[in-house]
Amino acid sequence: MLELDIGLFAGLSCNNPELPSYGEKVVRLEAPDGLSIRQLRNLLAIDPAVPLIAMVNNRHEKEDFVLHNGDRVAMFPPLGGG
Amino acid sequence: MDKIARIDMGAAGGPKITVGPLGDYAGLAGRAMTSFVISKEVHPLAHPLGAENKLVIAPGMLSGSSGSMTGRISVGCKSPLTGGIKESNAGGQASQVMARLGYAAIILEGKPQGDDLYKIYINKDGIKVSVDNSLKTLDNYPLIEKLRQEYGDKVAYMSIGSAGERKLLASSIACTDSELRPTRHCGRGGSGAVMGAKGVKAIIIDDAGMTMRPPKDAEKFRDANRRFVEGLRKHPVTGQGLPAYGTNVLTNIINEAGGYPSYNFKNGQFAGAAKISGETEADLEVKRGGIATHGCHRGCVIQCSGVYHDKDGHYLTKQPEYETVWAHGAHCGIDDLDTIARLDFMDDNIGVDTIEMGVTLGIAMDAGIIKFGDGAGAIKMLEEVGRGTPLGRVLGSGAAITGKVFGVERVPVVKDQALPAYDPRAIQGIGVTYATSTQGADHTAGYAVTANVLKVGGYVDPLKPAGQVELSRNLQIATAAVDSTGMCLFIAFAILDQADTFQALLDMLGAFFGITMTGDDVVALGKKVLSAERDFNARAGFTKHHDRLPRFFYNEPIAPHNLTFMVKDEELDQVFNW
Repeated sequence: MLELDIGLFAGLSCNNPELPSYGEKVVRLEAPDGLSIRQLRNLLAIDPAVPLIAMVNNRHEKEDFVLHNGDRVAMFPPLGGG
Repeated sequence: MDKIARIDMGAAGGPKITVGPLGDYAGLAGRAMTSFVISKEVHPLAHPLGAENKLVIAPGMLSGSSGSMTGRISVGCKSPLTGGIKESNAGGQASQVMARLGYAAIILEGKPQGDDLYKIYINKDGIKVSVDNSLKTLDNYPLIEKLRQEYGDKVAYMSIGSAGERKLLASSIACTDSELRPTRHCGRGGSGAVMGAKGVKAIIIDDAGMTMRPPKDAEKFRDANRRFVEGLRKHPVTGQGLPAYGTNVLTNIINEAGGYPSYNFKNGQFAGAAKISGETEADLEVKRGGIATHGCHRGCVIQCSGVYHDKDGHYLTKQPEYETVWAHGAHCGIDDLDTIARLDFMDDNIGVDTIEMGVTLGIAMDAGIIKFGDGAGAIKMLEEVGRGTPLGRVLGSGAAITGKVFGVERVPVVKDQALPAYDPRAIQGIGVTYATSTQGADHTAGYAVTANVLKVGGYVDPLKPAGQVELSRNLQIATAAVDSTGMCLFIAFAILDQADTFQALLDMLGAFFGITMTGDDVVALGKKVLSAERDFNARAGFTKHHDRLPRFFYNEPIAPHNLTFMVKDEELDQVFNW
């Protein structure tokens, strides 16, 4: 099992009503080994139409990146500023 | 825009106005206009506060038209802060109004003898320069209130606060927004001090009786504008993120990327980031009856600004921007949005660059004048800037001078201009822009954060030196061109990702001027502007050795990535390789 520390930002939140963190933006989750970012976003039921920016331990990672125990995962929709 | 007005503030017998055709400057606007004029007409060794310097105010190519997003005005001079060329632009209403009056540029020249303070009124009948010493020492908000009683609400105001009158190097020029608040500033580089040195307190621009500037091909222009607006609405950054959360939406992602400098660039993250994030700010604004989605100028469809109320529901300030929140927040160890908002109001009122001022407050904290995190202390120090006390004058002179006065080694400046809200050790591309831009440490000049962190216009790994020079070069060229169009730079998010939106912009320019505009033309324009700026800086004494970051960025790794700035000097020297 993986324990993950997840932050969802800029309007994203956990959309899966079966998870205890439903509606939350700060999520601590136990998940099966070998979970990828893509699978995590599906688990959180984030709208598949949103192109995500995902960071794991402060680095950009692609959606096929496989997560490890204790990872900090941050997810953002497209955003910008200046 | 078929005329240039020159106002010689030092002419014998009083300010003298000459209005003439564009001549050699035909076809130029915005940053292209200001940089060509400064580069051609200002002695590179001129004292920035002296008669030889000029303040050039120029709307952009499409300003004053019915085109969307066209409200930016450029102000150019030799910068009192950097000693190099400066272009500083702002939103608000001034650009559209000045453009509709037909002025491609207003150029303030010379320097008055004596200490009279002047205001300049521009309307369809011409330009009137008059003494008004009752405006002396007024800060921007009470100044605009006073001027409104004389000139009303259907005009645009550009003004300096007490900071500009005192010729402080961090001083800005304020432009009123569509609610007539002095909240949009030509912030960077001390242009307010140049306006103050020329004895000008306020410029009142009244386009009553004027109409929108007509395009050469109205139908093509309308169609191109429609496609352009569709593109902005379609792109998630310009269509959703920015309107919902404003620029401060960046706090969480830059913090997560490890490039959010805290406690004067000692750490790449800030524990209080969520408390001062754009999401928190928008929430608070809405709860308190403020506005989270708001345009700084009429015709803006991105609507990234907002209105911030205090806890009692009264207006406190415009929505503080990302850079402002960082500079007065994480950089100073302050995690309270109300304190930051109060400081933002004071910056706008006194008339200082929020980036320079915030970074300077953090330097003062590093020097031990007050502690990091002392919000009340920061407010007191800014009050001193507003009163012009000796400490206030030191602080109002910016980060470099404050660091020297207090013996602080860690001073994050390039060409004496303070770094904005991204650490170059974790976002290597922005480091290239900071080091090499003609403007000093400037983030908008070549906003590599797009590809480094936001995955807009592609992706270049922010933690490695590879690809950063090319990224910064391309963005610096593109930005110099966009800065000449009068368009808000945030259109870049859409035009970098959507080829059809970029084409719509080219079609707008083409239809307006009756020409064909291509991507190559945009590149050529950007290069021309940068070359003129580089040429001025070289004659002003700048060498490649000025295109470097402070040494601590090379020597001191920063957490969480524990990296230093790795782009080699020889690579930095390749940025302007045409």
